[in-house]
Amino acid sequence: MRTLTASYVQSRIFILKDARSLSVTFNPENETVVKLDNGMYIRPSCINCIEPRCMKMDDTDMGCAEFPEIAQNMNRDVCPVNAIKTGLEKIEIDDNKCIGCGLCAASCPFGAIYLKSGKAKVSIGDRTNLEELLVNADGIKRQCDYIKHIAMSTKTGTMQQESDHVIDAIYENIKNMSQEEQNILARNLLVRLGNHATLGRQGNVYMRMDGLYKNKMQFGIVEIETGMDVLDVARAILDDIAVMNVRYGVDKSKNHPLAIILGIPNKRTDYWQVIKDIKNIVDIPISTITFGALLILLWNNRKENDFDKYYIDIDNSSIRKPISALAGRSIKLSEGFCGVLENEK
Amino acid sequence: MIRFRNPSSSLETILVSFERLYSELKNKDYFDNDDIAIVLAKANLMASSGFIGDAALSLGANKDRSRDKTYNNAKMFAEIYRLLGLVSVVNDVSSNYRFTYIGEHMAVPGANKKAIIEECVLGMNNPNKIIDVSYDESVRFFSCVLLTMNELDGIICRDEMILGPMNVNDNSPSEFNKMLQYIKDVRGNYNKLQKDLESLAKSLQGNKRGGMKLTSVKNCTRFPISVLKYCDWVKNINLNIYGRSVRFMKLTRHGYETVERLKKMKDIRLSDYEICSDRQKQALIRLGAFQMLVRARFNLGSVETELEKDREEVYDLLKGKEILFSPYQTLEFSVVNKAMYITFEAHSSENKTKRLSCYSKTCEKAVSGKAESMRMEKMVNLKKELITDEVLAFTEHVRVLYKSEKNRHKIIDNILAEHIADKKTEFYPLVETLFRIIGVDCHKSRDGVNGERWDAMIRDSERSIPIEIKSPSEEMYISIKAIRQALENKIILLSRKTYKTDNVCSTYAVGYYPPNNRAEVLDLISNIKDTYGYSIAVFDIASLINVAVNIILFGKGINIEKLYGLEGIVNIEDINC
Repeated sequence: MRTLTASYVQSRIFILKDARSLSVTFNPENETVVKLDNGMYIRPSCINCIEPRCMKMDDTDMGCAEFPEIAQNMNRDVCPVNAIKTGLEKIEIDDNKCIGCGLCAASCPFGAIYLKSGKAKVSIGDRTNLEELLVNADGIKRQCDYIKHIAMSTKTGTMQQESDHVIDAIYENIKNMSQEEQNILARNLLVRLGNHATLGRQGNVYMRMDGLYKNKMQFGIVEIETGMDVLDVARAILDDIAVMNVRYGVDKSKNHPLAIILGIPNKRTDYWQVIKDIKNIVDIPISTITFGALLILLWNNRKENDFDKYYIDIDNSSIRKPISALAGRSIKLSEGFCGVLENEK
Repeated sequence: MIRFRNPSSSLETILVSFERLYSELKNKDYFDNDDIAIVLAKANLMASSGFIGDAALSLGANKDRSRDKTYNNAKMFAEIYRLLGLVSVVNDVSSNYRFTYIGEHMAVPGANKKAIIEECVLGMNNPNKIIDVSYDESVRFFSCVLLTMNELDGIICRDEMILGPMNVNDNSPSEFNKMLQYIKDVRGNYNKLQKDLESLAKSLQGNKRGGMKLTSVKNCTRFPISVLKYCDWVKNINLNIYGRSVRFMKLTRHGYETVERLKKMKDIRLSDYEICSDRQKQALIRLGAFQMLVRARFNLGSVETELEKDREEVYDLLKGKEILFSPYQTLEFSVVNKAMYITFEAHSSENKTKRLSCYSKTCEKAVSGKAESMRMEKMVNLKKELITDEVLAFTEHVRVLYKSEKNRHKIIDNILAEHIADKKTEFYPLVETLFRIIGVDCHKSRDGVNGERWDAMIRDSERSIPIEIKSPSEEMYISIKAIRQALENKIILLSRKTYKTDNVCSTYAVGYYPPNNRAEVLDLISNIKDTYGYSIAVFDIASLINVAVNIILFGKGINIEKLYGLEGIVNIEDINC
């Protein structure tokens, strides 16, 4: 009677017939183009991964190996608003929930998700290229091995062209998200930009920080704030650095704190002067980056491992230059728009 | 009232922990709370005092099991998994566990875990034969709360949930309707809602006489709320139904769909099961378990013939309806397995994991030691240059009170009560006045001066002290937030040099009551001192009033010099000034 096994999960899974992908090129408002190792170019089709990377982050992306003893938030969702789910034939995305961040598209190793009109869409493409596998141990293993290979594919192009209109729409969505969802969005953006990032665990009164990031160059604590009181970010960071110093032996000089905010505050707020005061007196430069800037980098398939260049204070409160430099072109956003790259006028 | 355990604020953590436990323990004959503690701590999934891994096991360990943090945390995880029907008790020992047939399916690659969890939470019901609980409500809670919301315009708030679905026998239509009517009637009357909540808390049997603490009662909603959200059945919405903004949960489209599904199902409780024949009981078990898996998108084509026979066997009971019955959450493990034709070999105690025997206590960092050395060393009279109209008025008020009360403590209590609802416009001047009576040149900051981020400043030619003040209308108990702001004040003062100070001199936080979370605040003050070298001192207003009253009535002052080096939570009353 004990016949229930994976072979009875209601799902159809696939791999590409006789070919692997070499590169994925994103096109704004259009499906991606995939170049195969047999020289062909195709419009990809969702292969309905049994362990979909567009849905769950990899554990290794989220851990901070140096501090395995730090309690972490265990949410591994890629989509911060839970708009994506498995389907019988392919991944399904709920248009009503999707905020158009592009994290799922950036996570799909096969380029089968793209952004159109500010929403993520799943490509069905030409399914004659696909080989259907049995959903049993062998089939699952074959698909997992296949995905491991195609995960090495390079990604180029632009997933979504930034504009005032696009940023305005996605910022409205972010404002309506819960704090936990905003935190997951920030963490996942850091991960997809080439960092290990983790969030603190809810209810851990000893570790109040929102998160941590680590890359080949830096380690730092992360504070995330989408409300008006950005000054709380600086205070929280001082607290976090003290905790990391005493509990985990991270000298404050080794900690590169990062504030992730929605919009760069108005010059009239005291935030800028306080950031400078903190640098002057306790020698801690707090870097500040916005959700919008992180999204622009994601949409352009960029990696960012040096957050020190986003140190801004009363003397310079713009991150347009480093973002443009990394994107390799000027950013098409009006000056001060939503405070994404510089403070609103 | 139903009391849910709360091992973690996040259902995600509970489920990720389950996956890890399954992968580590699935081949064991059985496992216990120690095994769970070891697996979860080592996998960074369970924290003790903010630490995980071996550090958590070590810090949490205690020879007295009732005080062993990690063991008790593991016990709570196990209880939740038992409630969800993912593990069950074996060997007739309440802490020997094994994964159930449903639990095994959670670990199948590609399984829709969210769909399985929906089934498991809808399967939770009381009474049952698997968990002894301290409440006696007969209820299928998550079905009850969804059906209740459906009848109440699709919304419910936390306190209504406590007084309603957590406190009703939902299999009695009259009780269920009475509960609905109660919530309809109480809406709009916030005071009654709170009074009823307090009465309920007092009536419950807690650890102490006199009922449960209201906070503990409210904490029992954490698990159900996180489940309702995880299953996408509800979303938060703020509504003004009670004359103030209160957070409600609102049914989502999926929530309504689930309600419609529930209405069409036949809910089988333990009492329904027990009156059946043996053949019917076995049929109910198979139908209940397999139907859960079908709804969780497993294909059961291979057993369909047998299930059809079972449906015929219990047709009179189900009348062709779909069954809502979770056998692993209702009946003993062995009874369910027998009906499912699942057999295990005899369990032995071998293959068990040894618990780390490292008992060590968390180091308590007492940072308020300096306060203890604070002694009254010389008499201080009111200094002329510090006298303001407010100082004179306060002094006169204390003297008038003394004539009627003749008791210093009563005077302090009176003044404390007068200021319990103070906003910052009343509270900041009070703090300024008290420090001036104590003998320092305190000035509250003027509104609108952005550069002066502190709320008051003790001005001094060499060692000025910034003060962060929290009025009782902002927060009753001094919090972490005030400590953070006190640190920021110190940094800003050093940077901008508005008043002269040095690195050694303290920075203050003043509030109405001392911190509620004393250890957390002391930890932070200590961490700040170690990292930045700055001393933060915390005063509650009663302590300052105490010193001022002593000065006014008895001419007893304090050693002003000590004020500049204070650190930690200052309790002036203890040092008998």
